[in-house]
Amino acid sequence: MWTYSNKELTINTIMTIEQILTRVQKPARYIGGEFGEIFKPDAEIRFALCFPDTYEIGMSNLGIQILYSVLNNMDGVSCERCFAPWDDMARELKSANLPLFALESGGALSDFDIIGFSLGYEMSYPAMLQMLELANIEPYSKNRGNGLSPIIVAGGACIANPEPIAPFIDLAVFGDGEEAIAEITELYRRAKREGLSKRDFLKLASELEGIYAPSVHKDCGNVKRRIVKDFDSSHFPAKTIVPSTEVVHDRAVLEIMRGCPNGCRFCQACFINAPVRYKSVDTLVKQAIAALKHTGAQELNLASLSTGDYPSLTELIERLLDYCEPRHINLSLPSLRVDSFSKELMERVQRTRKSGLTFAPEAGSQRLRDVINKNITEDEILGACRVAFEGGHSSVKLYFMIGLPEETDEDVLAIADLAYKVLSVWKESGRNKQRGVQITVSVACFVPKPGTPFAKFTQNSVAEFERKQRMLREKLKNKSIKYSWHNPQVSYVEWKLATGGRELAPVLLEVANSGKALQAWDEFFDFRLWRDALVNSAEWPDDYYVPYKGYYPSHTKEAGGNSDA
Amino acid sequence: MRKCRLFFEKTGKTKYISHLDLMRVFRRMFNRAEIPLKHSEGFNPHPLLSIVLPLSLGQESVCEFLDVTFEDEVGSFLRLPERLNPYLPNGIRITRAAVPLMKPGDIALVRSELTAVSGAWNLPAANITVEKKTKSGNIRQIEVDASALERVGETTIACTLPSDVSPQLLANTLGVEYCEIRRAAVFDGRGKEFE
Repeated sequence: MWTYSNKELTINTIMTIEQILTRVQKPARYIGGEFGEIFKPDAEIRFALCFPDTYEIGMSNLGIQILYSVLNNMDGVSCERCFAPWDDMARELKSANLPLFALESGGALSDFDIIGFSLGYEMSYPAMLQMLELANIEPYSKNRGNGLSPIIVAGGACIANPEPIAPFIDLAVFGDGEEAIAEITELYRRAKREGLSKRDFLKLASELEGIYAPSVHKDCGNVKRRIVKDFDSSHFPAKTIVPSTEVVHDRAVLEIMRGCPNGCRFCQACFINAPVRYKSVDTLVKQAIAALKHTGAQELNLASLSTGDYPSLTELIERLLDYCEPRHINLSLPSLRVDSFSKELMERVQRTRKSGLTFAPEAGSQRLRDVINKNITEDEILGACRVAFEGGHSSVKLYFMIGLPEETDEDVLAIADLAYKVLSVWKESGRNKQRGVQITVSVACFVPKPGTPFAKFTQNSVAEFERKQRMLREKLKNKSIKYSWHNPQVSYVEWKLATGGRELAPVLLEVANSGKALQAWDEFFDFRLWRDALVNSAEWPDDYYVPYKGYYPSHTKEAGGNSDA
Repeated sequence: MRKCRLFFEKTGKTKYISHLDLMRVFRRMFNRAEIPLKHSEGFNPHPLLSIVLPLSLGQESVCEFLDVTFEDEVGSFLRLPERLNPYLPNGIRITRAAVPLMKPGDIALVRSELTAVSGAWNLPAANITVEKKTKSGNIRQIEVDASALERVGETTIACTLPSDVSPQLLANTLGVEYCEIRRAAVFDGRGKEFE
């Protein structure tokens, strides 16, 4: 039998959920009960931690695991999880008239005190609104009444410009969330005990550092970004939930540093996570062993924005391998900067397993790399590839962007030139010539993001992106080079949502109600849907070129790196 | 002995954990309990463990079998359930560990309990034929003896079917729209319980 311990669920509801689960894809997404799950049925405050994408993506997200752990560590607070249902599940819930439920208790989302959304990608806004709709919660905050609950709070990278979703949320956390979320929850507990109204509570919450309250503040311009100062002793979730089903990243994650010292001008993550903070090797080794013991994971990921810049990387890897190697545990490093990629480092990581290597030159020409402040030279790129090929690797991935500020056609074609130079390096230094080589050239469309020095740059039009993509496709016809590119229509929508204002709220709602709320997924992305919604709200200029309208927190510019672009 | 058969139950919500996911759950369990499994030799070594008779998604069971080979001596098998159970999600529970006595190929019959949720059981007086679609797309007809079915509760029947016939097919044939299925026992060809 179903083991939901929430007494509100009637036997009929349970039977309906059971029958639905036999019909939908991947039912393990919706059942909870994993190893490490925490359920506190008698808690005074119930917090629903929501992620507007699937279980598999959300459970791979370190932020979700940190916040879940922080909140459940608080006395009298219970944090449960809720993810966006796949479209089959969304349809089933609607037709059975069942509200969207949290995994731990099976309780309806609308019964929670606080509903928190982690927003890392603008394209997931419609999924967030669909989750509210499936929970029978009024999306516009002004229509939700003045009762205290539910409070809807959002956090994550998207809060660099929260205006498009500001009409839906009560609070936004700008910057590091783990301390702020505990303060909001504590304040809420006080408000609940003292019987405060929502308006009074929001007023108090708006005074916390890093908190934006759209109903109190005029806009988010003066909100100070929240920064965890003592990163070394910041909360580390050793006892994470270990999904029973396969998730995107099935591994233990060690966040070795926060922020990035490089200051590439296009990179939002660098500016909204500044300043750079490191954890000590001792702390990391201790946390790694605790996490590996608890999860039983076979892979340990050293996560950060630029792992090669961790000052004692060699010592850290050496000490982690002492524990990992005898236990068949792989170490994995995210993409490395080519200037930090040494033979020594590669050999150390390879002692366990040879994984693919990824480098991100971002632009094809030196001139343009200088414009974006990506301070690596062609020699360094080719040198890193040479080390990789000499070490026995037969595939590398190269990440680029097109549509960067000051880009000319020559800069675009330089991407192809660089790919061919990498191919020549392999011809000189590749170890196994018969096996061939695979050079993947992945080209994204540049999206100017708030908080960066390029925030006010006007994005290339879809047609312009397509022209540049065709140009590259013509040049990259080679059996050793795999060329892949992003859909410029997605990048266009992403740009609008990243830099737009509150006028986009009805657009988001219209897309959310379309039955294709998971717009971050290729199988659901529908440009016509967006265009029609933009036309309906008079946000569709004929020539695709929209003026910059965002209201960005002004101090993000001083947050880190060079901002004088 | 390093070969071991773990007897386990899979009930409640864990019935929605698929076969492949269940393998992952058990691999993680051994890692957490720090009981290393023997790994296969070769380019990409993998731990030696297999689930003897995979269960369909959505069905519960109180008699599942996991065969493993340990890397080292692990001491008394009797203690294994208590050593391993803390590392499993709620609903999956190891009940016993022993040296395997039979081969997986010896399994012939499976007894299941079917509880009707919508619809009611009308047990046939004579033998009935269950149709099964084979992988090649043909229809295989399987005769089920009326004596293989018995009523064990108001809405529950028990049936003993060849191990390659899903009890869901029987439910479909008997016209029950939706029922809960629980695997109750597994036998060899002579009717002896698998162990």
